[in-house]
Amino acid sequence: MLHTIFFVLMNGLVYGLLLFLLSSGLTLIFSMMGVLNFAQASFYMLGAYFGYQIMAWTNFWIALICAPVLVGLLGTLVERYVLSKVHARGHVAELLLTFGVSYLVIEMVKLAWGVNAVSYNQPPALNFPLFTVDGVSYPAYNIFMMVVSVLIFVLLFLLLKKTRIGIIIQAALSNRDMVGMLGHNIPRIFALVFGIGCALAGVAGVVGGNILVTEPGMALSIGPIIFVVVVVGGMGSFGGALAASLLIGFLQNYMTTLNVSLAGLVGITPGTQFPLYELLNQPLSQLAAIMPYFLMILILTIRPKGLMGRVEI
Amino acid sequence: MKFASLESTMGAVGRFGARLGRLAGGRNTALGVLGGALLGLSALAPAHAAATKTIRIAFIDPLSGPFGSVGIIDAKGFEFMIDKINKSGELGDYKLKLVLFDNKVNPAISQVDAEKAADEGIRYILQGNGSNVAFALANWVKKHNKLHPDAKMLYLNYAAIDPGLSNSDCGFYHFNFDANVNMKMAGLVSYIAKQKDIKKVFLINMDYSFGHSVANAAKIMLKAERPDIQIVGDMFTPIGQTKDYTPFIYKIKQSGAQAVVTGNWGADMSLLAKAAGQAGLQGVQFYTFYAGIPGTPQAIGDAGAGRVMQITPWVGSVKSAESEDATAFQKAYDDNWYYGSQLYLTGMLAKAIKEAGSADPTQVALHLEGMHYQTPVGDVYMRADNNAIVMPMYLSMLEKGTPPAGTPPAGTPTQKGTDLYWKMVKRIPAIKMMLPTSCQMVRPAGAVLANAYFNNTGK
Repeated sequence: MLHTIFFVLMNGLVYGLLLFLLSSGLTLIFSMMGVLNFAQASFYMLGAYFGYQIMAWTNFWIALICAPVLVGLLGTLVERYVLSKVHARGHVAELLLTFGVSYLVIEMVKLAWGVNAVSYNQPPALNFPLFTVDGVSYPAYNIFMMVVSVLIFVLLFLLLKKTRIGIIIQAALSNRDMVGMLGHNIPRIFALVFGIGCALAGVAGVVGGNILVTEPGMALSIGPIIFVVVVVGGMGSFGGALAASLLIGFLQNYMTTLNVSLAGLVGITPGTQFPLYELLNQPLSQLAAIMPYFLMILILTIRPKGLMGRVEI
Repeated sequence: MKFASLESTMGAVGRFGARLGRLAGGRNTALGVLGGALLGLSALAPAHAAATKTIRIAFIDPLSGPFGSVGIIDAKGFEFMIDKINKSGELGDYKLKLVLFDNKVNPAISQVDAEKAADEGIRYILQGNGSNVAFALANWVKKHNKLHPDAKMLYLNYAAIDPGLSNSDCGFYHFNFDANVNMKMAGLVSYIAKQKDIKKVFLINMDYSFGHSVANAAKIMLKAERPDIQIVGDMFTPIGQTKDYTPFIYKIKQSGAQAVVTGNWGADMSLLAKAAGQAGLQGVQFYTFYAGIPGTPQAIGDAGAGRVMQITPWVGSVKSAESEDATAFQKAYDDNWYYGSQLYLTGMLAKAIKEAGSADPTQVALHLEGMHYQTPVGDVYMRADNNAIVMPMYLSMLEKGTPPAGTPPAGTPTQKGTDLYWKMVKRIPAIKMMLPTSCQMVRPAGAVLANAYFNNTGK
């Protein structure tokens, strides 16, 4: 039992931090610009493909630096020349535009790298088991991924709370015109924020693309879960996104590892005539993957602000 | 329901030999009657032939969306084979042509596509992805052919493998060119049964009809072949929702299983194998249906080497002749050749058209039934009792490095962009794939069982 608890905590932490890594860029863009960037997962995909390509040419460490920069630049261009034109027309226009961008990126990737998964693997230098507990090894790469994830959390926190640019960014969100009057270049600040948000997606792509699968379907498959993390955590809250990621990580691991059904959880053994017999006897492991969506609905109903959000959706 | 029918199926295996003998006995007379019928019909054939020189085939499969990549690579494979047949001129005045329809793996859209194809005068449907789509199309074809006896459609299914398609829902105008779930499982189990050190088996599958068919077939067949094997896990995951398979690997480890049997495909297959590699799961082999789909070995990467096995109608370079096709395909499309069924399907279709001297779906179907077709990997046979294919199957293991020379996989192409290749482990003779069927199909009036005889001697 102790081993199982250790496994749930450890693996929940690994998976939770991966989720945070994936959703940090979306949180930044939403909290600082109020833009719900539908194309976030597509930028994550670009990061993975750039990472794969640069790693094939050079090595992983150069890819880890160059790929996010490239994705960030691309994001900046999108904001500067396309997205900035529709800010004035409200959130629906922004959402539709980023929706279009997301599909454009997916099709571009298919044209450039083909329709099948590419062979994007972990760097050999980090591809060894760091330690083994109860027969399950923890590869050094996973620990590296966790470090990157935590580092991003700390850096973002410091950037926004402790630096001058961070304060200007925050001010621009609430008092856009006033900050503009004071002589700050608002479009440039927005382009910067959007660029950093996309670069974060790029980091997630480079680091997470080889833990998951790098294929044209990856954006669509990861898209829903990062929205769930942001909604559950509270729109625009980094602490919330981290808390939500870890919560989902732990819960999902716990549900999968546990050998009980819904009925068993509340201590009843319904007969076949019992209403909802099928659902109640469903093993929890089978429901683990859809649990995040259930959690999102629950949060939206009883606590629309999310775990740590400041605004209601 | 499928469970019950499968169980009775397994019980009937014993009576199988006797039945084969009966069918064989009836062969000569059946052939004679068919020959007569064909002579009578051949007079009509030229009129048809003059009208349509190009035989269009509606390819109804996903070309966009999450499964778009799978459909696109399948279409490429067919384009390649059709091109080859057209260039060879073996069909004389006839030319084959693929017309693409994007069904988004949606049964309702597929039926609309089929309707459109029929309106355009297309008489052949080609589909493979999704048994739910296959059931919808099979039923649509039945209805359409009843309403339009003069414009019948022939449905060629190259990859949808729910056992119901060649049993309860079989039909005369619906041919299955891939081994169904039960056949593939029979192949896997015939190998697992001989592995003395496998005592515990863990099942993990996707939570929809196909995944459940796989799990049921595994349980029943393992019990029949090796009653001492314990099923220590039987889990299902929602399609494409699980990102982290590590907890499942933990459970497999805890269960003490030596083998995992799975019908998972796409990301669900890749992530399962990757998680096993990352968690350092040792001494457990993964017996899969779909680890070889183009893109999956690339996604699995080195984690799958020496761990992941697949059962397929064809692998690497079993024989050089088919390897030539594979190499030519790789050159033309820069991708690995995967579906053996595409080779048989196009080859057998061409043969049937040639023999019938007509593009009329009924005539072609009558010639497809009971057809033997020689491929470099062995004799392939289209059963006439359920219009489903029987062919030898190959069990292979994903390996890393350069394929050793002189062994069966000599010259085996590595998977694109990797140094991984499929090494043949065992050839399962076609005779093992001849499972009993519950199919009761309605043949056109006057048609007789063409060639219900299976002469593969079990090589």
